[in-house]
Amino acid sequence: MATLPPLCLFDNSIHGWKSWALSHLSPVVVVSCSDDAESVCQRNNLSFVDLLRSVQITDFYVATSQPEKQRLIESFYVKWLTPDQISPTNKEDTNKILHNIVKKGYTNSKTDQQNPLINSFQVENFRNSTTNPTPWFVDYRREYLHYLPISPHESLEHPIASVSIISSEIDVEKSMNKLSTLFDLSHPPNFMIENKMEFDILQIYIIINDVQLGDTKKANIIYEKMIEKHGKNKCFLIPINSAKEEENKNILPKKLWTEHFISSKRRDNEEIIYGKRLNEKDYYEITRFANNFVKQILFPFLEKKITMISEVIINSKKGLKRKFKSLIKRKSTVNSRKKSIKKESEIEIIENDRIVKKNKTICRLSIFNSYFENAISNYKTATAHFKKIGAKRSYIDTLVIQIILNFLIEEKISENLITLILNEFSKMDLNERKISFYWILADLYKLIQNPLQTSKYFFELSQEIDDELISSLSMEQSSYYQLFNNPIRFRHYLFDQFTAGMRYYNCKLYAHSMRCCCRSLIPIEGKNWKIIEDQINFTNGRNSFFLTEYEQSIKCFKQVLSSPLQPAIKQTQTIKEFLYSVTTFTKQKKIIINDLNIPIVNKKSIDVYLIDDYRKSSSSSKKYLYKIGKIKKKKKKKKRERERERKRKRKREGKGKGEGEGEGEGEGKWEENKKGNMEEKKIEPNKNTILNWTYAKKKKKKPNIYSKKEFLFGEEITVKFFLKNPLKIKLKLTNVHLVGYFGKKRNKEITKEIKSKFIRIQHNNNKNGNNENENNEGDNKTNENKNNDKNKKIKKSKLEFFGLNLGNLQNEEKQSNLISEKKTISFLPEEKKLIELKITPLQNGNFHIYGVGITLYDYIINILNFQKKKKKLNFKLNKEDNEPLKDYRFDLHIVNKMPLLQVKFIKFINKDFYLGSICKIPLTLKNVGQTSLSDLYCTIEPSENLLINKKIENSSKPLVDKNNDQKKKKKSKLKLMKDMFSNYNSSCYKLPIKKIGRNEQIEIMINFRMFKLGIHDLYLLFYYKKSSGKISKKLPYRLLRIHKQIKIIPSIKINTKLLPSSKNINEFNIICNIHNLTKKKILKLQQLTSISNRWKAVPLSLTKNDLQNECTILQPKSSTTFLIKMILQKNNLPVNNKNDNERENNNGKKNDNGNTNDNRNKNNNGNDNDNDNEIGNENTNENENDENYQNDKIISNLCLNPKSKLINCNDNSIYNIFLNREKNNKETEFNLVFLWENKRIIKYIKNKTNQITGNNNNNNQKNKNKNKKNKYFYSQYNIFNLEPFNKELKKNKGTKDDFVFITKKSYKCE
Amino acid sequence: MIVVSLAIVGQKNNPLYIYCSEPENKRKFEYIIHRSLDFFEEKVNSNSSKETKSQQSLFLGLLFPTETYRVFGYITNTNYKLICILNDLTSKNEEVSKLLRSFHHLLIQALCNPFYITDEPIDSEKFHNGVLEKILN
Repeated sequence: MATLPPLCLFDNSIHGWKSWALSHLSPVVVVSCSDDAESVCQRNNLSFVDLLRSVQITDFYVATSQPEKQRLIESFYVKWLTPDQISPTNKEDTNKILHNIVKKGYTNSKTDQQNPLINSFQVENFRNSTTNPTPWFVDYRREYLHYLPISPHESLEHPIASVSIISSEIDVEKSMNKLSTLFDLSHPPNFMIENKMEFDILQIYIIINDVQLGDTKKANIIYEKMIEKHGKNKCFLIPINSAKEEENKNILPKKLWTEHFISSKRRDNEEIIYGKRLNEKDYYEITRFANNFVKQILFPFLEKKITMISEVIINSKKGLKRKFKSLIKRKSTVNSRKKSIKKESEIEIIENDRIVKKNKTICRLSIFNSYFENAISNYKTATAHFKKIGAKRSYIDTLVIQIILNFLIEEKISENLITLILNEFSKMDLNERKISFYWILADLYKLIQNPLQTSKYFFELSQEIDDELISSLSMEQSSYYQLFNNPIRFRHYLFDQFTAGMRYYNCKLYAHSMRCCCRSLIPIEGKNWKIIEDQINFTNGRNSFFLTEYEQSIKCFKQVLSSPLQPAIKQTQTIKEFLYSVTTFTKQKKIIINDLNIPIVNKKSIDVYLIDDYRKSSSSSKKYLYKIGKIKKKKKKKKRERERERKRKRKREGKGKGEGEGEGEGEGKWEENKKGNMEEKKIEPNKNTILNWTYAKKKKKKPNIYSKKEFLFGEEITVKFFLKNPLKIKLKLTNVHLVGYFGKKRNKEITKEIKSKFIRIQHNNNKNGNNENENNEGDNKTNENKNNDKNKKIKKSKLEFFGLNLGNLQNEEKQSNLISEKKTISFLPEEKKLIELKITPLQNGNFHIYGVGITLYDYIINILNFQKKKKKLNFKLNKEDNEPLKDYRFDLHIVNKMPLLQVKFIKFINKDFYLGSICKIPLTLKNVGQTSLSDLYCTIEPSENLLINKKIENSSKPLVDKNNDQKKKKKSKLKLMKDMFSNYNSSCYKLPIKKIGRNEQIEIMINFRMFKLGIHDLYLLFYYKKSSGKISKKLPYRLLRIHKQIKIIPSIKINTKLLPSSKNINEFNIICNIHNLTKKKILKLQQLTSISNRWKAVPLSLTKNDLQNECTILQPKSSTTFLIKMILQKNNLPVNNKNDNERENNNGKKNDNGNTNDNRNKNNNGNDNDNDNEIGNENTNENENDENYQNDKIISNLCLNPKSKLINCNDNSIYNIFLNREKNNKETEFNLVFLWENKRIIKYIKNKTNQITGNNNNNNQKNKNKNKKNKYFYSQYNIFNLEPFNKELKKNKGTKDDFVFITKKSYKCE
Repeated sequence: MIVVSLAIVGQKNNPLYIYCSEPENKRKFEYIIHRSLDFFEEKVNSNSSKETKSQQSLFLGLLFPTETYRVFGYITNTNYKLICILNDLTSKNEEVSKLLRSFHHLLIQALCNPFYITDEPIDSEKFHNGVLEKILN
C-alpha cells in the first residue's frame, strides 16, 4: 500500500493512497484577495492562492485532548479556494470548459495517431505499457470535482477559515476599511448564504509587500494597524517579489507551481514564466505563514470549537428533556395533551435540526483536528444519532466519510458499509450523492489495486450519470480496468469501449468516439461476431464522416453493407449515409470501390464459353460436327454401340425374369429415376412388391476448366454467372459489364504492401515534418515541391489503402481493345439471378477476364472479382510430370483474326406461316470479321416439329453445284452429311457460296415446311472457315447459331358431322366440310381412307366431284362438302395385319442396316421402346383387334339409343390432316385421318388404288399397353413411323425427302 | 423456464449458432453472449485449479444476471461453449443443466456430420429443429 500502485498510472495527481484520502478530507479556507494585492502576485503570473497551494505542510505535532499525548502529523492539506471557486458556477459554462479539456486532450495526444485504425491500440501489451491512454481524464476529473456545486448536505466543503489579503500599495487610511470589506461576516458573501454555511469561521488578515517596487515602511504601518485591530495572532506581513525583473528566469522550479494548477491549460502553457520575481526567501515566507496558520491558529481553533459545540449539544439535549417534562406536568388533560404534543413535536424538530447541524460540524471539525483516530468514534456516534432522528442524508454522508476514514486507518474497504449505503441510496432519490459516492469507490478500489471493482464502479457511475461526457469518460475508464483483471476481460473491454464511443458520439466528440470504436473492434476481428462488428463499423463510418475522413467512412460503411444482417430499415439508412459520404468525398463524381460485395457473385457458378461453342459437351452441335468429319467418329460410335448392347442385355434379362416367373407387370420394367442418382435398386426376394428399376441418368459433364482455351479475335465470349442481392431492399445495377485486360499483369491491387507503404510514407512525412523546421529558409522552394509530391503519394496510397480508386476510373471505363456488353439489372430483396454477359476481345494475346463491373446508385463503380479455383493435382499424369492443374476459365488466349459471319432475317418478324406450305425466308449473310470466309455450311438443329427442305436457294442458283467435277470429294462428303443429318429430320447443306470477303454481304433464301401448329423455335447453325492464311489448330472453323421463333397457323379447316344411318345400325354418315384457309395456295383432296380394321369408309355422295375418280380441288379461301358412309364390319378379320407386319419387318431390317429407327423413336418417345415393340408385336395386335371389336360394339349400341345425340362435330373435331406433296404435282394434295375420341377410325384413301392401308389402334388400351399406345400416339407427329404411307410413296417414286405434316385436334362426342 | 436465447460458441470463441426468440433484440443478446465468454474463462480457470473434471463440472451454472435475464453457461470437453439466456429469474440450476446437456447432445450430432466444416456456423436444419423442439417443450 505504501508504494505507488501501478493502476495510478492513469492519475498523476494521486501520489499515494493517503494523499488521495487527505485530498478528500482536508479543510477549506477562503482566500479573499484585494485587487492591488492580486496585481502584486500577478507579477509572477501567479495568484495568491497559487502561492499558497504550492506549500506543503509536513511533520508537526498537534496537541490532543490529553496534553501528554501529542500527535505527529506527517502531512496536512488545506484547500485554498477563492470565493469564486466556492460559489456555484453556471452549468453551461462549466460544461463547455469540461468539454474543451477532453477535446483538446485528445488533439494534443494525437500527434502520432493520424489514423486510429492504423495505429491500433495494443490490448495485449496494455498492461506492460506505461503510456496513459486517457491523459485528459485526470484533468477532467479534477476540474469536474472542482466545478461540482457544494451541496447543502456536504459537510466537508464548508469553509473553516477565511484569509483576507491586501498589499502595501494601498493607502494607509483606506487599508483597514478595505481589509474588513474583503470578507465581512456582518455582510456575508452570497455563496455562504446560498449554501447555508456556518458564519462562525476563523478570520486571518495578511498584508503583502513587493520588496522591489513597494514601500516597506508603509507596509509596516499598515501591519501595525492590523495588529491593533485584529490581534497579533491573526495578522501577517509577507514580503514577496525579492528577485529582480531583469533576470527574467525561473529561480524556483516551475513544477512547484504548475503541479497545483487546476486548469491543465495553464500547466501546459510553456510561454509563461511562473514565479519569475520570487526567490527562495520569498517562498520561505509563504511557507512560514502557511505552517504557522495551520499549527498555531487552525488547530487550536478547531479544538476550542469542538469542545464548545459538544457542550452546546449536551446542554441542548438536557434542555430538551427538561422542556418535555415541564410540558407534560402542566398539561394533564387529554385535549391539552394533544396541543402540547404538537408543540412538543415542533420544538423537537427545530431542536433536532440544530443538533444535526451541530453534530455535522463537530464531525467535520473532528476530522481536521484529531486527524482521523478520534474522528471515527465521533462519526459513529453521529451516524447513530442521525439514524435515530431520521436525518437520512446526513446519515449517508457520515457513512461515506466513515468508509474513507476506515480506509485510512485500517487500510481496508468495508464492503458492509458500501452495501448499506447503496441500499440507502436505492431507497432515496439522491442521484448526485450516489454519483460522488461511486467516484469515491472507484478511486478507493483503484488504490487497493482491485481492477474488477474499479471497473464496476466506473461502469455504475457511467450508468447513473445523466451527463453524456462524464458518462463516456468513466465508461472508457471502466474498459481499461477490465484489462487488468486476471484473466483479461476482453469482451467487457469491447463493450465498455464501444459504449463509451457511442456516448462520445452523442457528445459530438467524434475523434474520441472513433478512437474508442476502433479499439473495441480489436477483440472481435475475424471472429464472426457480425452484428456487433456492423454496429461498430456503422458508428465509425459516421464518426469518420464528421472528422472529414471520407475514405475511412466509405470503408466502414462498405463493411457494414458487405454483411447483410441488419433489417431493411437499417440497410436503407446505411446506404443513404454511405452514398452521402461518397458524394461529398468525390464531389458528385464517380468512384471505384473495390471489394464492395453488392451484389454477391456465386463463385461456383461462373462459366465462360462461346454462345456457339461446339466444345460444350451438352451441345447437340457437336453431333453435327463429328458427322461432318471434324471430330473423330469411331470412338464415339463404339461407345454408343456398347451402351446399346448393355441396354438390350438388361432389358432382355429383365423381361425374361418377368415372363418366367409370371408375376406382376411391374417387374422387369425400367423407369426413369426421378432423382437421377447413380444407384440401382436391388431386386428384393418378395415377389408381391413392385420393383421400380431405375436408369441412372447421365450427369452432364462439367466443362473442363483446367485446360487453356483459345478464342478468336472479335468473337463474343459469354460469361454466365449467378448474382445475388444480399440486401433486404431493392437494388438497381446499371452498366453491368465484364472487365478484362490484356497482358500478364493487371493494375495494382490493394495489398498488404500498399498498406505498409502507406504507413511508411505517413511515418516518414511526420519525421520530415519535424526536421523541416530546422532547415534553412533558402531550401524552402525545393522543400515545397518535395512536399507536394509526397502529399500526392500519400493521397494515392491512402486511396489505395481504403480500396478506392479515382485515378484509374477512365481506364476502367474506356478500353479500346475490347467491347463489353452493358446491361441494367434490377433485383428484388435477396433475389438471385442468372446473368449472361458478353465481351469481345479486339486484340491478340493473353486475355484475362477478372470480374464484373457494376455501377451502383450512379456514383459508385464496383468491381466484383471472379475467383479462380485452387490448384488441383493432376492424377492422370505420371508422378514425375505431375504438375498441378490451374483454373484457366478466365485466362484466355486470343488467336489470329478470323472471319465472323453475321446473319440477319429480312422481313421475318411478325410473319405467320401456313401449316404444310413451303415457307421462304430470305437471309442476309455478312462477314464482319477481319478476313474472308469459305466452306459455308448450314443446318437446322434437331427440332421435332420442323423439317428443312433440301434446297436452300440463293436467288435462282441451285444449292449444290453438281456439274463441278473437281468437287467430287466434297460431294461425297455432302452425301455423308446428308445421311447423318437425316437422323435429325434435317440436313446439312453446303451453301453455294465460295467466298465471302471482308464486310461483304450476300442474300440467300431458306425454304422449310412446318407440320405442327403453334409457335416454334427455329435453330439455324452455320459452319464456316477462314479462307486464307494460317489457321489455328484448336480453332480451325467457326460456328454461328441463330435462334428465331416462327408462328404456324392452320392451312385448312374441316367441319364434320357424324349421323347414324337410318338403314343400318352399324352404319354412320359423315358430312365433311373442308375449307382452304390459305390466301394463295390451291389444295387438292387426294384420298380418304379408314385405318380402322372394322370400319369401312364408303363415299356416299359428293357435291361436284367424285372422290373415287377425281381429286377435290380446294381453291384459296373456298370450301367443299362431301359425305362418307362408315360401315362396321363385325366378322371381318383385320385387313391391315399384313401391312402392319410388313411395316414392322421393315423396321427391323432398318435397324439392322442403320440407326435411323433408333434415333427416330428416341426423338418421339424419349424411351428406347423399339425392340420391345418388335418382339411381341403380333400377339399384341390380336388382342388389340378383339378389344377394338368390343369397343366398336359399344359405339354401335350407343347409336341405337334414341336419347343419345350422336356426334355433333365442329371444326375442332378434326384430328389429323396429312398433307402430302408429290414431286410431280405442283399443287398440294392431302389425306385425312379421322378420330373419334377413344375409338379411332383412321383412313386414308388413295387416289388410284383405293386400297386400305391404314392401321388400327384404340386408346382404351391406355392402361394395358402404354408402350404400344405411345408409339402410335407419337407416330402421328412423325412421318417415319407411318412406314406404309412412305412405302406407298416410294412405290410412286416418292422419296424420303417428301414430307407429311400432321395436325391434331380434340374431338368430343356427347 | 423461458429460454430467450441460446448460443453455441466455438473453440476459437467464434459464434457457431445463435437462436433468438426475439429477433428485434438480437443485437442485445449477441452482446450478452459475447460478454459471457469472459465469465467462461474465469470459471474455467478457477475450475482447472481445483482439478475436478466430471460431468457436473461442464455445467458452469449462472454466469451473470442482468436486470431481466439470467445467463447460464455450459462448456464441453472440446471447449465448445453453450450459453443459455433465460427470462425466468426463478429457474433452477438442475433444470437448466438438463436442458444444456440435451443441447450438448444435439451439438455432438451436428458436429459429427461429415459435411460440417469446423469453425463454420452450423446451418443444419435438423439441428435447428432439434433446438426448437427442446426449447418449446
